[in-house]
Amino acid sequence: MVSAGSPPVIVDAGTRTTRVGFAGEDAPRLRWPTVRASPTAPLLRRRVVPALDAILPDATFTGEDALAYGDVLELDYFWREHRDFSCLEALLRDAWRSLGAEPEASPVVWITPSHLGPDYQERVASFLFSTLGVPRALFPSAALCALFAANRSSGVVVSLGDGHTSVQSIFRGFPGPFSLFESDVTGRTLTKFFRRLLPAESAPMSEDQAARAKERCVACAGDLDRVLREVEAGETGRDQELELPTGERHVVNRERYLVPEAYFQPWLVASSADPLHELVWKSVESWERGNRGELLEAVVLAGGGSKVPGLPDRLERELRARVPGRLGEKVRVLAARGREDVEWLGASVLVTKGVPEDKWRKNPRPTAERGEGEPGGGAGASGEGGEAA
Amino acid sequence: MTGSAGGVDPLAWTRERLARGLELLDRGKHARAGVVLGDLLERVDRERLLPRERADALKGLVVDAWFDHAWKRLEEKDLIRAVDAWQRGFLALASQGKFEDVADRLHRLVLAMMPLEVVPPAALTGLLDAEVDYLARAGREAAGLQALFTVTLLRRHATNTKVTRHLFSRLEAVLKKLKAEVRPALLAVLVDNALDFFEVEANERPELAKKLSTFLKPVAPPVVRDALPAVTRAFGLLRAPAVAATRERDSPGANLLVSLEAANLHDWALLVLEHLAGSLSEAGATEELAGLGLKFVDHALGAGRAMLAVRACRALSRHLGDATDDAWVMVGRFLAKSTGQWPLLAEVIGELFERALESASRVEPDQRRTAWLLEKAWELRARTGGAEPDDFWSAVFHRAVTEEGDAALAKWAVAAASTERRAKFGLEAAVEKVDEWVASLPPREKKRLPLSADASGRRGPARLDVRFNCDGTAQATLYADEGRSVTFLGDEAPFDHELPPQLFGRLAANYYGGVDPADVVHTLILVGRAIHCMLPLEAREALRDAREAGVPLVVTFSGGRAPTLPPDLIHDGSAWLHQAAVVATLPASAPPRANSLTPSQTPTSGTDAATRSIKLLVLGDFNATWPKYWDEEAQQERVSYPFPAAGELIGRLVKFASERPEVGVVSYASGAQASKDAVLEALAGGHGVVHVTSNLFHVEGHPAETHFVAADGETLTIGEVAAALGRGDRRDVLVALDARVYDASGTWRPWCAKECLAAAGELLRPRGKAQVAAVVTKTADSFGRAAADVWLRFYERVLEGVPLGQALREARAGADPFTAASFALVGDPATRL
Repeated sequence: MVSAGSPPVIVDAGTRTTRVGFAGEDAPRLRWPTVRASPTAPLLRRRVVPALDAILPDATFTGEDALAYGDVLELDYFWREHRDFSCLEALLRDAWRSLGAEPEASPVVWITPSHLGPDYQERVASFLFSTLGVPRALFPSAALCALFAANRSSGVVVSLGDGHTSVQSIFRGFPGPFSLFESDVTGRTLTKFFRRLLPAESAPMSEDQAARAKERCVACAGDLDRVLREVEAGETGRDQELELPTGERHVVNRERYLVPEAYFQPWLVASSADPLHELVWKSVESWERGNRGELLEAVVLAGGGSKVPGLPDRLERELRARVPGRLGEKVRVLAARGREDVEWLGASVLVTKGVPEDKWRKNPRPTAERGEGEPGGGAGASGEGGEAA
Repeated sequence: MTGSAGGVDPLAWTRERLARGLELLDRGKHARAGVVLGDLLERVDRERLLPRERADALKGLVVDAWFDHAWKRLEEKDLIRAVDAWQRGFLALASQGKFEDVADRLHRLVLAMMPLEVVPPAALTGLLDAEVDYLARAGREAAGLQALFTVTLLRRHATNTKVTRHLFSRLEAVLKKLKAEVRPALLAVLVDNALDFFEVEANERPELAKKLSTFLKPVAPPVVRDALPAVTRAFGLLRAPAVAATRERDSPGANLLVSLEAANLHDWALLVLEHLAGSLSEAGATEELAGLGLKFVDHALGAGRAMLAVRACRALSRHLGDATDDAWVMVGRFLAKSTGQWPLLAEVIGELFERALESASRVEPDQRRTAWLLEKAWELRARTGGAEPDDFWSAVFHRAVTEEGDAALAKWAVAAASTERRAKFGLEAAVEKVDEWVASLPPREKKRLPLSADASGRRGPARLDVRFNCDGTAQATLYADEGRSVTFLGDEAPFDHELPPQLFGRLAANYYGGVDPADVVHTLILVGRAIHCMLPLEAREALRDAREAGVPLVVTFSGGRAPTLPPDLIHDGSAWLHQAAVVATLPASAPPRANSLTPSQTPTSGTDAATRSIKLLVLGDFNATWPKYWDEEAQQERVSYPFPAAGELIGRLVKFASERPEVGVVSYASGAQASKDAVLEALAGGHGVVHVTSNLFHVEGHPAETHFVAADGETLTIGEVAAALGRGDRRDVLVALDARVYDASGTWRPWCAKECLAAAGELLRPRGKAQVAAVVTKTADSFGRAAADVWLRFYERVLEGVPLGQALREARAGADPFTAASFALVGDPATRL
């Protein structure tokens, strides 16, 4: 059980968004872009007067503050910088400050992406314990958390993130060893695709701007051919106006539907990956025939990419068409409201339900060194590691 | 169309994009504006959408917009975007190769950032370095240092030792560099700004004094000249250290003096000496000052600058008192040896006497000094003729008036006696006697007096020439009347652009001692730069000031080269000139001559009428009429009528002359009777005025060959005319060249200033017994009634005895500007018939 004192802080460091909040709450308190901007790294690299940089403040911007300077400063993304934890440190310290807590006093629940192995976990642990000085940490699997949030123990978790798309099936709390499938059609891929579809004037649009524009306007078509025909016929019902960086307004219609279509037709983005429904089926197929029905009954959508309107319906339809026989009737895609935070929510549920003490990894550094009054946590008192469940 | 300007008017497209970008900037849409404006500039460059000038203007607008935006961001404390905007602006400038502009903007940036606490000193020093780098890239490294050491910068940031130290180190580096490679403009800037630095950093002053001393030593004269304004300030600011340093072997003051004197810049040296005198006397370093002063006076006398030496003595006297006795005696000895310096010598002697009197009248008289001074004064006096009365001045007057009639002595005594001295020594009665004596002198003797004195102490008229030289300098020379010879009273060394309004007044104060400047005829001589419609700014200001002051003015052009002046002045809005001043040219053969009368002292008409018998010769066709002249057929056949031009004028002129008793003989040659022989004979007839209305055929490059065509078809060259005039009576002749000018090909030249002035210059060359005193000529083809009126008014005034310059000015007063401006006087405007 969690010891008395500061409640655990759950951190879901996503490719694009980092969610931070206290365990036991329904939603993360902070949803910050996982980005850092340093004034010493201006975007305008062809500097003619480098001395001007000395005027710049010595502070580091994180989250929205950093994005606000995205037009003039170079942004460092945690996941793109080879998981450089220095990017994350400033962000997390700011987050703790916002939460009114101290990292040294707060246990941390770090949601670990399913596809990353023990190495990553070790690195995070090292970061948390050495850099932030957290007393102890828990590393639940993201897929498991998502399933917990849906109050299921079996199901397929379809995680559509900005930097990573994966499908993993879990049967009665146990993730299948061969059930994890990944795709290179990610949120970022779709953003690039979206930008490519826009006119040349959009080229200077920053990635964040493009991603936000994409989120605002894309939708998944039930029948893409019909939609395209309608657009070509001049129907304006599907038009949406978009302001380009140059200030001009551009009408998007067919682009709106083409973009998410890449999940189901990866060739649109020149990917050789399998379509999403195919990945789900493959993941289910990795289990014995008898377990597949139980799995297909809970296809849980998670991640920001799953927020595309019409995507759950489309996925369900495609799956039903793909799943052989009567199994298709069992297919049920669970798309909860707030599914972008579903992993975080699952972790919150997990911690609330109670995690055995031995599942927590304790900070190996002596308390005195950390300057903390909390007892316990002697050297080498690490937990067994691995996922909590 | 969003992506390209293709198919659209490029101007409209660029305008639209620019407006869009600027609007985005206004709305604070930094990145978007960057996209739009960057794209715009890139395409304008790549696709050459606009002509070069417009493209440059466009880029300038964009750059300005970025800088404005940057300031706005800075006001909002958004340093990051401000810096980004600056970088964009600088990038745009640098990409155009405008490194100097980059540096300039950087400079302003630094200045503006000085008071901002958010800007760290390291940034400022970095920006300054960048500025210097860019100036070096622009090839203006030297001027760049102006940026480094700006007054504002140093003053505002005086509290920031780090920055000032950095700047100072740069200064030192530059100073070292300067020794090897002297850059005049920079030196001035350096000194100036270094001063400001040290003004702030009071404890650094001695250090600066040493540095000034070291780097002033090896610089070349031109450098010193440029650095002077700054250097003179230096000694104002650096009094205390200058004093300290003066006592050392290598003092900046002494070095500067040596440099200035080596550069023949004695006036500046005097200025520095005055500064030094102030500081040294404050510090009680009288011995050093006396040594310095003696050295200076010695150098000035060595250069023949007695006036300067006297001024130096005066300056030193204010601070040193008794210690300048030696200097005064030294000057006196020099003056006694030289000639023509009596007024100055009188002043020196007077000074010595006054010093002796002052010394004797002290509570504790210094008998030894008094005796020494008196001895020296008498010694000098003895060299001038010798006299030893009790009271020097009284004795001078007494002796001059009553005993020996020493006109020369009286002359310089009057000149040297100031009002104060007269009051002090009770000389008023003596002055009256001098006046009586002068009045009793025979006219010939009276004429020899350079200055006529009256009881009020006012001196007589004189002439002040202000000469504007081609190199932008000006020079003033004062002439006093001494018969027909020129007496040089003094001059101001060339002064750089320091010109009226103070000029006339100052010179008058210096040399006339309270005389109303209106009594002085001021001559403005424009050399070189006045040619081809390019009046220097200073000259214009001088003209304006003179007009406002109501000073009689003569504008003179040297060398007879002022072909376009009148139209230029008119076009320039100086149309008043034709009313206010006489435009005259001054040929090289006719040096400036002092005049004896100012316009305000014009004798009344008729006083000398009986003695002034003027013979008027008119050469022209009495019967000529305009239609005849304009006969197209005749023009085509190139028939040249002898003297056809102004029949009306000639008629009126002859009538006018015949009504005047003072015009003794009127003769004219016109029509068929005007053969070459007849004309030459008439010219030799001793006429005072020769009025020529004729066709003049100009020969380029040979003004003596320029000729008229007589009725018998013979050519009558200017040289022959001048020679014929020389055979006449020994009188000054006034020639009125009222000619219509043709070039060698027979083409009529309506703008004939060049030709007429050349001919006039030729006429003015002294030949034989007679000489042409002046020529009134045309600079443009103006004939008809208006011109005739001017001529008649002119002759009327001339006959009244008015000097030619004034006569012409008054004659032109009523004419239209074109007619008025077409008249020019060649020769001394002070001449009278």
